[in-house]
Amino acid sequence: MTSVKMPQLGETVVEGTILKWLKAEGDPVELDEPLFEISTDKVDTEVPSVASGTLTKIIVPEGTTVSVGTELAVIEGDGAEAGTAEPSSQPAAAPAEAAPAGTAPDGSSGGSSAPAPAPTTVAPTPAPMTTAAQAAPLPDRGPRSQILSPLVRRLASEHGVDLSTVQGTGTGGRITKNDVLAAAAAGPAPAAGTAPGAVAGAPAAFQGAPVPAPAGVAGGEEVVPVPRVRALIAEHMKRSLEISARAWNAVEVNMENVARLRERKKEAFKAREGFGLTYMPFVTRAVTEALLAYPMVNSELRGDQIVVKHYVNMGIAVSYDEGLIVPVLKGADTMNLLGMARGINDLATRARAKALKPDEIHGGTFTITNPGPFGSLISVPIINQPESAILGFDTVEKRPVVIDDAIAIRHMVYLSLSWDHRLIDGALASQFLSRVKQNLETWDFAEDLAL
Amino acid sequence: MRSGLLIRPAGTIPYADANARMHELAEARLRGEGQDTLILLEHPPVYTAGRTSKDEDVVWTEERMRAAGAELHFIDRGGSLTFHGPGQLVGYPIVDLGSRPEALAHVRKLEEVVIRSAEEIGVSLHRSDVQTGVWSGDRKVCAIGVRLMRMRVSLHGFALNCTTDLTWFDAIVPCGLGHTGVTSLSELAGRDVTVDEMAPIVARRFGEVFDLRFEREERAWPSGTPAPAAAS
Repeated sequence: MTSVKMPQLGETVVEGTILKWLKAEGDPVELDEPLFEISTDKVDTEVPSVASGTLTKIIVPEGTTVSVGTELAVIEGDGAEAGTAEPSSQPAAAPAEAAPAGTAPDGSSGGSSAPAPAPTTVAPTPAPMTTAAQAAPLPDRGPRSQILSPLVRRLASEHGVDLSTVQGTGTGGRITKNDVLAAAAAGPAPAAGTAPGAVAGAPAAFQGAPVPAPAGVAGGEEVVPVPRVRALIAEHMKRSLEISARAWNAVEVNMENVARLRERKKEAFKAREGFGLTYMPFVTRAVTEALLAYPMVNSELRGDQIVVKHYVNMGIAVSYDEGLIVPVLKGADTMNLLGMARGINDLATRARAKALKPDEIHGGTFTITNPGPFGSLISVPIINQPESAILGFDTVEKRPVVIDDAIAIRHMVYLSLSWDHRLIDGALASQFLSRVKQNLETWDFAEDLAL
Repeated sequence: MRSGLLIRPAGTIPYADANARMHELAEARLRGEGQDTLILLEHPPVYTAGRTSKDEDVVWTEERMRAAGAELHFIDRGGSLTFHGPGQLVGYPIVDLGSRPEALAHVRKLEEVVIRSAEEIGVSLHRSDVQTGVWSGDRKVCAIGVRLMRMRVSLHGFALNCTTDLTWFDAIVPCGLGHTGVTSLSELAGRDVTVDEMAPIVARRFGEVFDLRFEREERAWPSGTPAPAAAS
């Protein structure tokens, strides 16, 4: 007996949808013969059988999305099995092919062309893929039913009719206006397990959560549609956690010198520049130098290659009324403190006014997030993909600290770093943070301000 | 570096013909015959709907598409709905990805080919975190959709707008993009960037990214190729 499992289509692919079974239960199958088709993100494939014999049981039906390694079907074998042997045809070797076929489909068998140093890259994300909502079959979409008139779509949405449950009576099974009105009159379809409309078009990040029955809303609750910005943030954050091996550490930095300089210069600065001098440009300046000193923290894992960047485009997380956006201070490595202060103020102002240009939110190499103004003491940010690390800069406040065996009062701050263990190890992360700390504690920023 | 085959037919090639040729080449590749191949061509106007096409993505009716002179094909690639037509450089890489295919890495490589190619003419493009394809700001310049034959050999590929008449995209919401749009290299460069100008650049960059050396270039295109069973 051979268990047919959801195959691995690469390290970062964690789930797939069964599009079609090419064999029915009871059919004989040959080793290496196409058995089913799957869809993952934008790549579809037909999957050859791993054994020959009889397909005795299909466990996962068409339209279902499951995680890599999930058992899909059972083949009662006649002996031939692709346990270790390559399929008979063996085209010219691609580099990735060095690994033996048929080993555990969770990618843990090694042989990947990316020499990932950390042991954390191998585990398939288990639990979240198999929630009730995910396991529910997708509505069957025959090709013809895909073309619907705008009127039908609008009516369906107005009446809350789930079109996947409507039997079309038009030409070629097409759903007509009358079909929708009839379905609306008949009341909401039960089944499906997801609220009609509520998750349509929402990214997978929202679809992963179990959705309660669409029975209406209890007292004291309201239903708010997912705004596009929210949906994008959700997708981006969840994806980051899925693909990165996030680790974290922090340092405490004595900001006394910076605080004093800022105190001395802030009025003159405001008078000349028209905006306040915050701590942010100081931290950005110190981090930029440290990124050039430790470029691996400023790198990106692109496919099976590490792209190390010897320039800095600094993402600055800005919260605004609709959510969070990360405008990018391009060419930060070419700027002095004053240039950064102006650039950051300009980006933050326009971000809140929703006046950023599209290319100003792309191309970052590293990100700083600054929850300090809201009173946060220390944070554990999520890496802004495809970057490899993000720095959290929290509240600067006076704390008692020990200096030369005496207790003193100083402006202190925690700087934290979330980093991708696929690219960065703890030693490097600590060295990088120490460099930022040293820069902030020892540099004389006064000259840069030209005040 | 392996050697590869570049097929670059002149004129426009009907979608069904190209689809058939692509499947034939992939089947040969699966049998261990032939070489990794890149087809670079232009299609007459055609809309293709991938498996994840949604009703909401179609703005025009099928009848209106045909009246405008375009065909509509439902095809076997991943991804949603898109348009191909004159002025768009379409690339079909038929590449053996080995027995443990890195599917997403393949898609990322295609993006890289297009990003490097555009860089050569001074246009800076980038990836998106949430969607495949190659972008300028929030507008898509190049659509990407890939299918693997037998979990091993790549089919379909990329469609790079050079001088594409972008009003064709009014018919659809390309690749489920919602309110964001499409653009072309010509629009971004502020001059006509033709398919003929881009094809050699893309071929060279493809060779670079995929570690292939194109020793042969075929300009001939066999006519009357039978449609494969997989195309519907």
